[in-house]
Amino acid sequence: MKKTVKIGYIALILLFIYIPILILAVYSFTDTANIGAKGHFSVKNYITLFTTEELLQMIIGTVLLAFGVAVLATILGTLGALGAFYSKKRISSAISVLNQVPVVNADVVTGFGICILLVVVFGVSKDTYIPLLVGQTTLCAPFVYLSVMPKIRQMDSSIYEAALDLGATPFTALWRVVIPQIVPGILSGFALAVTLSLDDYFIATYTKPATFDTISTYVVNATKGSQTSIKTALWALSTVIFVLVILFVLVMSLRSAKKEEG
Amino acid sequence: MQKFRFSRKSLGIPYALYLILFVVAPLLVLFYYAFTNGEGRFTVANLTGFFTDPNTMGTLLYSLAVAFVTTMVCLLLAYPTAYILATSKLRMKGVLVMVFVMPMWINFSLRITALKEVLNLLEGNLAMYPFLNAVVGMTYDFLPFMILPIYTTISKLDGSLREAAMDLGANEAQTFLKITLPLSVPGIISGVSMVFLPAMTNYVVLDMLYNSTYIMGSLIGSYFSAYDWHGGSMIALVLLAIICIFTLLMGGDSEENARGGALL
Amino acid sequence: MRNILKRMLVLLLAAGMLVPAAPAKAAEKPGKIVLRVCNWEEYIDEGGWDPKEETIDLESGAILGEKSMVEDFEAWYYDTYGIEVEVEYSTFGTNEDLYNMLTIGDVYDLVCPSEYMVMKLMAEDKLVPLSDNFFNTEDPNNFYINGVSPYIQNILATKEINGEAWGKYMAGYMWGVTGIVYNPDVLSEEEAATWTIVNNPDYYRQITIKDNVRDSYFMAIGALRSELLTSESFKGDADYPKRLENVMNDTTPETIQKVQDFLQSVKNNVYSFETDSGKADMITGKVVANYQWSGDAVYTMDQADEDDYTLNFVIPREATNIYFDGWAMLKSGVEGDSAKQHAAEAFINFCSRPDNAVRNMYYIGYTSVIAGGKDSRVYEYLQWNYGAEEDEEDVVEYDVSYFFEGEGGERSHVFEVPEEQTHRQLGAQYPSGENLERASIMIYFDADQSKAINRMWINVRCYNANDIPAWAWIVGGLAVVLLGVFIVRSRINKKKIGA
Repeated sequence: MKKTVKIGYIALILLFIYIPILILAVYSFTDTANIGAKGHFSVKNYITLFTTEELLQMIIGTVLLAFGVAVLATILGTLGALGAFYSKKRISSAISVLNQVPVVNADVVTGFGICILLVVVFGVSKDTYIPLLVGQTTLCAPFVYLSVMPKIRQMDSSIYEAALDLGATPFTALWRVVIPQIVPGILSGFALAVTLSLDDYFIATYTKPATFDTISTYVVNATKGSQTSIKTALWALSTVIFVLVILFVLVMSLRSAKKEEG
Repeated sequence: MQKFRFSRKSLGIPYALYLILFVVAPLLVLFYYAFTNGEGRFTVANLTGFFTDPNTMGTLLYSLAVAFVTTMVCLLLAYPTAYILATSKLRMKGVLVMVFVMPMWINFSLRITALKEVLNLLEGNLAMYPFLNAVVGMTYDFLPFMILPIYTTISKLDGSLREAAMDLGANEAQTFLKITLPLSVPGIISGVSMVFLPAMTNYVVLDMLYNSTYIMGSLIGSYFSAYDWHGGSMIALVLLAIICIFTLLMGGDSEENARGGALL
Repeated sequence: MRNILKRMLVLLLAAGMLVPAAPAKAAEKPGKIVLRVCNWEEYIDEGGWDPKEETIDLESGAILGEKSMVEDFEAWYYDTYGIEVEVEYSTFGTNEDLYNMLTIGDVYDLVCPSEYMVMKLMAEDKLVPLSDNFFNTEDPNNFYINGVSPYIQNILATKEINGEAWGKYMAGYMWGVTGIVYNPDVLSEEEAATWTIVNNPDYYRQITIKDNVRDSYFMAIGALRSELLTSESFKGDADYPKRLENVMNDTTPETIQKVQDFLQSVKNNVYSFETDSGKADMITGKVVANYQWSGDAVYTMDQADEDDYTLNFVIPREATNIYFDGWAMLKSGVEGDSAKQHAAEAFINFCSRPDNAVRNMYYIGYTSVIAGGKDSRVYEYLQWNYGAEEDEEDVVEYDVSYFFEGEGGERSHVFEVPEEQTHRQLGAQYPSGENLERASIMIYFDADQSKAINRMWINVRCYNANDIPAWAWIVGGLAVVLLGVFIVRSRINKKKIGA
């Protein structure tokens, strides 16, 4: 293939992915409510975004929720992976099959099932945030499990034996020897859990307290209406997230480039 | 009574309990609803109803078609992209790959809002062509999930295999067909399973694009919101069964990659 | 080791605490009432008006929405009763969504669904009746009972479910009728004034309709029974209102089947089903007609006017649905909590204060059930909004006495308006008495009826297997066979390699 063809193709795909986001970003700096209409430069969307309490609460709530869920999911998933790895074959394969269920199942089914179980069967109030936490944790923990498991398999088990021989208690050996070896898996599982929670709509919509919204549920509801000042403020939100992601990616690639050089 | 002694196996207990409580129990609840009627009596009417109603069957076939076409379109767009990225010798390749993956970190609802606005701008949000509308929306949403695993697989391929083939006189097309493509199948499989399943169920994308024809996800959601939990649970179970068959067909070993294993 | 356990415990606790920390800023002070209100999206004044351009200058004083209605209520309640109240305000998209949210565990104190959903909640014993004090006309803070339109109050007091009047549980908020917003450059009023327009192939993919089961059902019956409904003999019947109501709420299996077939064909003729996008699509000219609630119709026409683009509204000749969105208190929220119930009723009253009713009407375009009683600001607002200029030509007299006086009044609420307004905002916001003659309410369907029409609605939205064209079966079959062959082959290859 010719190089220009290749570059052209890549560029086309990039355009497909980014044109909508970029158009939204451009229009977020105007005072018009309709894409395509003429508008004047304005930062009012950003002012709305950062001064509307409802929006700020929704954003902060989503982020806090994501980290809370990720912490829970990481602890559960990591412990589960370790336990399953050291258990008998039957138990460990049972765990890994069950672990697979939330991964492949439709989120709407997972969300509804947990909602019915907790709210209707057990009578837990949604206002306690327990259904929401449990729901999203159920979605995320299996992914932590999946990203930790390969690291456990790659681990050098003789070090653990050596630690025991040298007089360490099993727990110390685990904490000092095993965990450090699987940290990369835990970290990527954590990051994955954060991403999944941030992106989740279906679980949140069935389990969240009535007066709490995540970014996903908020945006989906807002776009149904025609409340223009909020809607255009969401363009600004989209742009802010976009810029944050770009910065994050840049920093990461600069760091990895440095590492390679060093 | 013996004192509790720490053992590595017991680490798994919390998670095992968690799975039983929040994965098995909800499934049991779904089973209960699926096989009972409004009066709480056992019935298989929901099951037979699903397979005899042209509307539910039609929706199943329709969403299989949507998911299939979406997956194919994603594959056709993503494979060349991943191939070009993986085989190029650009210095900033890492950054470029990140650029393709970046949309995954922007909330899907915001991305779909963007898509909707652009489609509106192009005079026609395609709502009147539900199938096309669905495929465009889903493709836009899931494309990065197809690019990444394929890229990862191709870039891990041993370059020397390709070089050897070239040395033995194969041209680029032959090398691709005989070496690269077969060896990148695992990447394709994990990409396919990341796109196919959500494309059958992620109905919010369609709702946001004013699509008025249901797919499996919206069917389940609408049964739940029409308070018909019995019918809805049955459809959910049928869907789960289909998903299991699909996962088995795609090969059990790929499952660890599903949806996000390769995401990071 | 103990150290580790402790650390884990801290982490767990942190995870548990983190989340509720931010949104639960209602870390309730003792004595503070938290009132959870759930209303339709965009259904209340949210303030932020431009004082220069948006002040409503009435004879009895200017009206301006500076802060949101909810904030004003919180301040007013504290000033009036000395108790702090915090309103947690949230919204819902359709009556069915609200009901669903309630069944899967959301808790609200005060909700504002349409009348048929209030009836459903009444029938299921989920509501708390309004207190006697709420109907006490002596209390000057009881703005609702002192200001509600006699026309509306008459309906609320006479319509019953299981022997109890709606008005016992429901205080009206907004009301209106359903009709068609259309572009007069493309359609004549004659063409637009019928429910059958949604199936008119001349406007293929140029019409949007409502995406909810009850409105679609009503529309479909209106279209299917068009001949009967417009016949002189039917309209001349002594029992016309009752017969109309029965026809429009007919749920025999045959009718449901016919409606399903009709809606399926409509689905292939209209642009889309919509919950809210219809307004924007109308304004941008993407569609030429839109099945709309009168209040949203007013909003649409207002927006179009700003762009110098004219849209009209017409009430179909077959029938129109008169609806009432009203406040009702839920048992799950307020039962046994008299302080909360007091705050909930005060919220209704505050929204019913004539100036606040005007603010809401101005902001959202719907018609408040409040006529104002002795307070004339609502009528003044109507004149301010629609009254003809002095030198204007082509004016007609418009009679809204039915609303402000009820039956047997002096019929003094007549004023001059530009003729075109009768087809536009005014005709939508306060339909003429003549148009209201063919108004029918939606009655509540019991569980079996609901199940049947919900199923019907789902079926409409589904892709029917019988519609799959032959070529699709062939292509699909081929794809399955090819995939099967591919999978089997790759399995075999794998095994060979493995061996």
